[in-house]
Amino acid sequence: MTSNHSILFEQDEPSSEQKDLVEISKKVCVEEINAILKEKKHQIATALKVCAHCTLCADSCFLYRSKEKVAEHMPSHKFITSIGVIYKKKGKVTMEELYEMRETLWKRCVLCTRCSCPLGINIPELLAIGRRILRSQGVYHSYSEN
Amino acid sequence: MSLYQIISGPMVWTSFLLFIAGTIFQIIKLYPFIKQSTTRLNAISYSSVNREKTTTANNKKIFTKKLFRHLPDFNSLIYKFAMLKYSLFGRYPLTIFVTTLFHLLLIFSPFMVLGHNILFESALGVSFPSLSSEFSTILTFIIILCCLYFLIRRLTVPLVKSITTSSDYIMLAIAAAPFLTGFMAHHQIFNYTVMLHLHILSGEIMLISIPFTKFIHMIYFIITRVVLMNNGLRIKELKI
Amino acid sequence: MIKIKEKTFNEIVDSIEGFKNILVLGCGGCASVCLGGGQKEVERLCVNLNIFFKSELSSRVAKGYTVERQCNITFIEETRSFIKDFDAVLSMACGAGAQYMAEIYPATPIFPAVNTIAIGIDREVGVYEEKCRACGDCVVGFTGGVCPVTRCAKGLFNGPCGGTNKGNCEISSNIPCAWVDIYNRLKSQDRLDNILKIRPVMEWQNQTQRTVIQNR
Repeated sequence: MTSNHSILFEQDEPSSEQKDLVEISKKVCVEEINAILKEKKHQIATALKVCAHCTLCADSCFLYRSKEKVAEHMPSHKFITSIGVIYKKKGKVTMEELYEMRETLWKRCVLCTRCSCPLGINIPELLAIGRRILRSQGVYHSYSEN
Repeated sequence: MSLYQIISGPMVWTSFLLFIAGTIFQIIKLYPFIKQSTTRLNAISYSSVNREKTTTANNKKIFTKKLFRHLPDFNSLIYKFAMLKYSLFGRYPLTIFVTTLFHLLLIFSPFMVLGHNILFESALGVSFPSLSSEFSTILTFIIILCCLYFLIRRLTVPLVKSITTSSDYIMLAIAAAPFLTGFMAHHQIFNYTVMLHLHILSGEIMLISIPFTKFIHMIYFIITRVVLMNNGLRIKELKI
Repeated sequence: MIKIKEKTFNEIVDSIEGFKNILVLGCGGCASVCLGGGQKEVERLCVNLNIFFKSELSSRVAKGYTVERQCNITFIEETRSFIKDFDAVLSMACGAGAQYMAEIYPATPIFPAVNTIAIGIDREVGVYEEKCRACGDCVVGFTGGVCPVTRCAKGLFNGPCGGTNKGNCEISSNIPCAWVDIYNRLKSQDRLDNILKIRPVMEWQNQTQRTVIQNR
């Protein structure tokens, strides 16, 4: 198995039962996260470096404009608090943090890819990397929950 | 050697060298990413059938009661001006205006100051057209005002506050320092020699920090905005 | 959004007969919303397939992966590094996603694990109702917000047929007649004159592949 395959999950025995109970106590696999981070290193590092925290991207997000105009819905805030945190901690995040990021990555973003950054950062792609990392740890939004 | 000789001699050359070397280093560092992105985006070339023809909705006119309707001329200047409020400029007119002004002046005004041009002339044998002392003073003052605007915005607007880190304040200070000290030195507000030393030093710090700190958006802006963004699927206009 | 339904397990197993390494590729978009092909469903299908392969005493193996959307190159691209290690891909996205996968990886056989059913709405979690057939020429504005193309068994554009059976369709008394609903809706809004307008027959644009280009 090459390093790329660490992101694939392989399940031989049924484990989805009582998954919700098990999930929060599950350990985060730092190697898996770092494999993805390494692959996308340039993109994440460049974006975090280039972002001048100007907040001009806020109004390009339809969620920001249609819901309460809070900072949590601003595209730059979304990627700084999700993928930015994972990158700065070099993958050493806890499951609780990942569950908090899940709220940001799924409930506050639909990946409509319409947000625009004056400096040209591709924010949706960064958020997609964030989702990919969370998916690799088995953290994802379930549409059957509510 | 006196302090003045050091900071105005070898230090200047070192900082210029570091600036150029750092810029080249950062571009080389990003090159694999640029290449990967552009080749990936070039690979997306779907068959170039004349697709637009297959999309036209059938023009049924039965619901149109009036035959001639006054439709807005979508290419007219008035219409474009009306659509301006949906652009980035229309959303944040003051911020965009201040930002544009600030960046333009930040890059070009140092080349237009008489004192700098004399130094350029003696060091390289080239000089740029100089502005009058009064006009440069006004430009410097505008830059300081812009910096103040950014500072106030960072301190008061909750949106900006939410993602502000200490590095943002340091960046702002580094950007403002050469102009502030230059302004003070020129008008001999405080101690002239101290201010001159600080002016040279802060300018050098700014030059060195461009490729290695958040100022890197000066270099990467061109790459991310022109090379990567205009090459792919992203909507090119900054219309919100 | 697009609603999909998983194929029967038998059909899925039949389609991947003879392929050793199977990639079950989920889609985090509409397929995930309608509980048809998200990460959870991918995991479940992987488990089922692996149990089946073990019972067969074969060394075949199924692995799961979920991309954000299979209808966008940006999100498919992340599978490129490992797609070559698989003999076949079971796509759990809609027909569009599966076709785009096949277009991007022409060397890899793509099999759908789901049936794309409709463009619909969510009645409740797990219950979805078709509302649109994407005919490309919307008339809902003149039919009181009831789509005759989707709702009417005959797709009639101009008024009900003779088979209206006490407010129900003639093919089954359980199906409400779309045109009765249209009449009632328009009557309650006092817009009954809309029903009198004769609309020319639909130029069925489904017959050529449609491409949407937004002018902006």
